[in-house]
Amino acid sequence: MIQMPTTRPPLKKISDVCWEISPNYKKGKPEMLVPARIFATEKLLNQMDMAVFEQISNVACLPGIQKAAMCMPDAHWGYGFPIGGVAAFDPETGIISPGGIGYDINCGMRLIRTDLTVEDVKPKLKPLVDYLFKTVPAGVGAHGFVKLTLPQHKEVMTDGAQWCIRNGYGWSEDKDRIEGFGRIEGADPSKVSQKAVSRGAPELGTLGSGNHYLEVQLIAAKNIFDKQIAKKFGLFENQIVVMVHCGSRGFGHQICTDYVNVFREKMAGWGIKVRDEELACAPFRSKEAQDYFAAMNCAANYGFANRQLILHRIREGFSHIFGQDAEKLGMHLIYDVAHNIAKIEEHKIDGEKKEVVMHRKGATRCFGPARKELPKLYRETGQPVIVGGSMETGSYLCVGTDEADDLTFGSTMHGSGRTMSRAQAKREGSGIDLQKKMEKEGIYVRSVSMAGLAEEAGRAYKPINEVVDTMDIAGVSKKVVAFKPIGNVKG
Amino acid sequence: MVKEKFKVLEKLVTADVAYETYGKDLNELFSNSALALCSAMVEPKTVAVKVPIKWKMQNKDLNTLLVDFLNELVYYKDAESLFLPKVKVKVVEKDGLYRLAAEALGDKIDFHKHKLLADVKAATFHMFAMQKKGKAWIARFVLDI
Repeated sequence: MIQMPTTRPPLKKISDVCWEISPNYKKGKPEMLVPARIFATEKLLNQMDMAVFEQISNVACLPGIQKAAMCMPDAHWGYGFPIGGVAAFDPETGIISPGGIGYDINCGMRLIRTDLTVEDVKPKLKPLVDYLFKTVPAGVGAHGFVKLTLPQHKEVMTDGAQWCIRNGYGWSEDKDRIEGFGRIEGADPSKVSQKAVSRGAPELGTLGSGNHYLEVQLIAAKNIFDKQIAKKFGLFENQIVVMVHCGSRGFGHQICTDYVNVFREKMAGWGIKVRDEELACAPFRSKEAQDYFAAMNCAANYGFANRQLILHRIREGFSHIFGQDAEKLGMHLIYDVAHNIAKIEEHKIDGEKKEVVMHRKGATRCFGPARKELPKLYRETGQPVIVGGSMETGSYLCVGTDEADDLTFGSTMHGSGRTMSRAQAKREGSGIDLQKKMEKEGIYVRSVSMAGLAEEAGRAYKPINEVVDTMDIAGVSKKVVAFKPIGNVKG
Repeated sequence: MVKEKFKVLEKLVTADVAYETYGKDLNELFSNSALALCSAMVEPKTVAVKVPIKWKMQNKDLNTLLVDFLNELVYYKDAESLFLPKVKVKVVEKDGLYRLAAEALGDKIDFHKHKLLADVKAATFHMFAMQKKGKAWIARFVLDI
């Protein structure tokens, strides 16, 4: 049984925002094959769960790991990998691990711009949020508005957001503004269990609960850090934007559950030893690993489709409240990023380009302008990186840099990271009190669950500014704009 | 005195929910674990126990059987829109194989009637433990929220 660690391993300071655990920290079987690197300011480092250091060192023991196991500044204790964990594995000698991706496969963020200013929206904020609360299904057991037949569901699994766009739930330009163009290759519905299909079919186009949300946000003048890039993205002072945070719902959760079970049973036969049961993994070239990868890609596509349907509802909602077409309101998608996913990517390792099985769990891809995977639209600026904060403190838009490739396999933070348990957050204040307090601060919230709302109070999270600054100082992702919430819908 | 069925382990996890569950025997441990899982998603007293569901499952490993059993309840929540707070469980071991028969009672999810809490994504093996203490049983598990 794993015990809660009480001390931190020795850390070598690489820079003001990067710390290293030597491979000598864990000897014996299995031993650390590479160092572990933690990106954090000294303050964030001191606030991190002790378990993060153990977990990232355990990841450094997995077969075929390349260069270093890495932790982003928003890291906290997860299952197997810490949340905020980044690791690359050799496809021939390495593994794939569902614990390095998460139960919510392709949980991610989506950012939508508008031509509206705060003056336009403030008078209609309550009806707008109430309307979105009514039309975007949220909370436990919520069902989506698109009823899928089995052949349609299979098309969603293989075509992702592109299925939605083809079927009238989006604009053709949307696909250029989604990671992987909203459709990941290599998805095979035959590798998905009937249980996952049954859980996923009713839930497409729903937000879920926990820390998932839909937020109406404002750009204050002092929060534009790179005016040139903000302008290129169509962002300006006093503008209203919309942010969405959700994933692949029960569909992805079931795929993770199914394959953790398969890998746990087979690992001994493959001769793989792990330091934590939730690090269950399979040699990447094995049939079982390939089956999981094909099913995981189905969930990744489902995640993109889920957020695309929610975007459709948001455009409808704004159009209804403001009496104009979404096109006229300038409701272009800025970008959609996945922050729980594994992908085959090319990175420079020891000076040579190499294909790796990239794992990001609570970490965002942040490719710089040089990466060919980016659409033309972002080949000058770098990839937009959407970082969701708590519903009280605000969120960020950053861009990836070319330096990130070498520093973090082109990866950065995904949010602000929890520091307080859900029970403690509830004890420190009720949902109704929080709703009233937020309304006084100018944030109108609608939630399916008041207890769930209390759990998401801003004080339960790390300070997002310091998290984002860490990766800006590291040269991995540069700040463009910060957003302040004014309206929130949550499950 | 009413015997405690389960408790929330507050300090074990930050982003998720951990439970310690108790039973005078294995069957009761499973039943109380089902109630603990249900209580993460909804106030159980707001849920009627009227829709019956039965299933069977088996595993060589008792730990895996409990996690699978809890994930079955998560499955019914999404696929059938059912909260199942009351589950009668019978676990029998023969030749190293544990066979489980469950008879559950619950209610279709109703946004107006039920006091909803968090959506559970999965029951996990993270920090999982199950132990026999005399004749009684105790388990610890973490739910991904």
